[in-house]
Amino acid sequence: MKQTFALALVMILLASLVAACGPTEAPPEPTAAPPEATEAPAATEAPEPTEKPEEPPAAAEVVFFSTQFSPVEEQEKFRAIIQEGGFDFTASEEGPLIDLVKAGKEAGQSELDVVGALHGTFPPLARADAMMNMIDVAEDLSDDREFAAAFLDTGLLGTDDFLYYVPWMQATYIMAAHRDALAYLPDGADVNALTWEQLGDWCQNILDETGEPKCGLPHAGLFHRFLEGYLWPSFTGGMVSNFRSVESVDMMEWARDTLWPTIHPQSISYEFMQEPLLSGEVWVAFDHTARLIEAFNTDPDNFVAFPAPAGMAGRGFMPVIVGLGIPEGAPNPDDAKALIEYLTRPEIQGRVLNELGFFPVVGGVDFSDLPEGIALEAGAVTAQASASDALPALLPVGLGERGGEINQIFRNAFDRIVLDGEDIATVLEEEAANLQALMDETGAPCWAPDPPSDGPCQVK
Amino acid sequence: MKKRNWTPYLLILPSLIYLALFFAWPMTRGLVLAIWDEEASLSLHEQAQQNSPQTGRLPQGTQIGILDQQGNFIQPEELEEGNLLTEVWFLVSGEDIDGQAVTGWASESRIRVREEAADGTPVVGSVRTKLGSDADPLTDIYAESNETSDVVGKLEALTRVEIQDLVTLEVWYLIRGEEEGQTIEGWAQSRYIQVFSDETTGRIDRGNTGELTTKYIEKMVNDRFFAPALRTTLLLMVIIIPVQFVLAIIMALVIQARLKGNSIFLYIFAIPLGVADLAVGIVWYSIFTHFGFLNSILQGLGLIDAPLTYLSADTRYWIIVAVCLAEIWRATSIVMVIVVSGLQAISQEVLEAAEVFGATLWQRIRHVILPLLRPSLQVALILRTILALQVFAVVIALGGGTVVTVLANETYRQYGDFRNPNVAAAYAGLILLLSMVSAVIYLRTIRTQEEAAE
Repeated sequence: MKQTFALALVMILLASLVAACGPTEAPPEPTAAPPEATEAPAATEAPEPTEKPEEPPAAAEVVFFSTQFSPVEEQEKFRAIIQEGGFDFTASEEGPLIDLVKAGKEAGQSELDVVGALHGTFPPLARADAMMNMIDVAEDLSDDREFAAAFLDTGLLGTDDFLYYVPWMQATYIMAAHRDALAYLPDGADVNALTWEQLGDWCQNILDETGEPKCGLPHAGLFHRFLEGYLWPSFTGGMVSNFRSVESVDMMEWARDTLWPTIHPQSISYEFMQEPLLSGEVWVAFDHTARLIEAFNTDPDNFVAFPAPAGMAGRGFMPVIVGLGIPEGAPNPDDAKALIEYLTRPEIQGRVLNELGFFPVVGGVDFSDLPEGIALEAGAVTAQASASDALPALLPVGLGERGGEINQIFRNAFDRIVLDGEDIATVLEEEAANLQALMDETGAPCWAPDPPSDGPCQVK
Repeated sequence: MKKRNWTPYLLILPSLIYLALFFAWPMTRGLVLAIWDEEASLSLHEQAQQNSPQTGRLPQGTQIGILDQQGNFIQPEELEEGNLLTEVWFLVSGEDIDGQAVTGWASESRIRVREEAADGTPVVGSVRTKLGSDADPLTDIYAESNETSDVVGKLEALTRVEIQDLVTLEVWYLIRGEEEGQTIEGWAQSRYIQVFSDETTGRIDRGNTGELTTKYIEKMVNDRFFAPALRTTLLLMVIIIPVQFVLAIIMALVIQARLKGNSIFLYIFAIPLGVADLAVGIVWYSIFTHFGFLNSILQGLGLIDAPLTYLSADTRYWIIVAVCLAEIWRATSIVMVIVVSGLQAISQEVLEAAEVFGATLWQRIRHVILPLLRPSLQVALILRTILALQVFAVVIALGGGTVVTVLANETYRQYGDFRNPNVAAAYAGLILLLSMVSAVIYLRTIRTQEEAAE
């Protein structure tokens, strides 16, 4: 009796074990045909139209994961736009999204049809060979709309013929100020053509005359972009190659002794500058357009938007690009293309700009009827990009999945020197070694504003 | 001979399979990441063939010279073997800008297939538009199916071409590099090689042979956040655990005293057990934040004029205090439950005997209850220490995870933010090691009476 019971127990346990393993083994059986169809393009790099007849009918829903628009309010606005086209989306964090696409690549069958993510999310996916070539999609779309050529270029991720994403939206980082602050501008300074020195003087004036530091930086937010895309390029003309140049030593001295003492101490915990701007805690701030928009929208009469200041080497600025890609082995590639077509229509791009504050990547968008806040930002974004001394600093390319490390290196350099008071030369030396190691290990060639290099980018 | 009873073995078998499959195997796989560099070096071959003898290895990242290249033709049936990185070349014919007929080879990445025969063979295509801003807008057509052969013509984008033939190639490079003063030369597949724009130099982009490495552990130890994370984790352990044990024993004694409404106490004490740790973090965040309950109460009592800032980079000690309070509130009851069960196992006669001999409450606790509680305290200590090493969500909720950081948070950051599973594995291994060492120390130092007698 005892033994039969034990045996029964063993059987139950084994059965549950098999059931637990089931999901990983089960899928290939019912879908014996599609894996073959998806394997072929995997080997030949680009998808071939042959497999289309074998795909399930287009009725299936497109699965669209986006790392953008995850705050609930943005989700609702974006969902309203996308549902008009008959689509839907799921907001996802970057890490899980990358894992999901890579897992799909290994399984030979993707769960997702479309991935909407920042430029920086695509290199790890490219390295895993997990994305389809979007070059034909872009070619077809170019028939009736014009993409900004520079963004198609970045979608190549340094290759010649493999387009990892179709550009979707763009944004950048600009400055915002309360009108009250303009009274303290240093003599002869034009808010639309500031230099970093003048910004320092401006913040000092405000501190001297109001007794409070009222300039703010998003140190807990996207501060690394301020360092990589604005300070270093403006002062040294490069991001990587001039990391520890004489100019960067001067720059760090200025940042430590002149700029930082005039910056609001709570900056260290600011993630989005729109909140301290609106509460009046901060008058002058630097941040991502999407993280300032609330201030401009709420109180367009009291805030001004203007380009980031310039340094000796130019007006460094960093465009942010969001792209749409299709993972290898996506179940509904045709619907995925339809979704991409929908999202890149000029009128949809215009609505996204109107309601969500991300700028279009295609021509022909109607700018005439913008809400005041967005119009303010649009003016500053255009002025910044078209300034005579504009120096675009691109996002790192070629670092593969280790793109996050470069941000930490720049942050470490700043924090160690400015916050912890370590010696400038020593810190720059040590962090330059880390930066060089990262370049050597990934083999990343230099990207703008550094001059192109053969082989890994070298820190001078 | 006595008949052997197999039942226990049969019973234990499924759990062993279960443990091996879902615990030991993934865990080992995970920890191996910390010490194994999968792409450490690239094996080179004598000929451009997988099965040809090896000439040597070059480490990942070596600068190399590219001496030659060769495309091996791949038969369709070989494609099924997988793990091949191939490129397809088409023999195309079309008209160039001057109306001249051009016939030659072009890579599949340059030609988009527009029409196919019934069997899927491409027959008509068009030249793809070049996207790179500084690229030559015309597409080169080569005499042979590789880019080193002569250019026989150039075609404009979107030109219609007939596809007459296609080949599938696996490209190999003959490379030369130096390793410890020795020059090593051999063939390797294109996927491992990053070719620089001059086509004659490059570097080894990734290897195909793994080796043991300490570089991930070194990277972890040299990380700027390693020391603070370790320090904070240990500090939290040292503060939280003793406080929790004192509180838990007092709570257990209160329950054991069988006062009126005894069971109510148990329920109240056990409430935090049911609350998720992230929720606990958020609850305590709402207490300590700038306009939180603590400041409103203090202001209401007139003790402070303006709200104080507790959770900021300048006041990290407050973050630690808040984390300690939240953790103590959250996890004391699990210790209490263990202690209560231990107390109930103590024979009532022993306690009564102590009372009869005139022992005070303190003497009873010190000399009777605590020694008899040893086994349960040992279990609780091991459990609590392991949990304290894993503290994560509360720290994230209260401090954002950058100002005050702990080991578990660094593991997460390395994996999630930096996409570096190897260093994350090193952190995970360190947490495992610390848990195991502390468990062994507890087992050795707090020996139960039976063990001591053995």
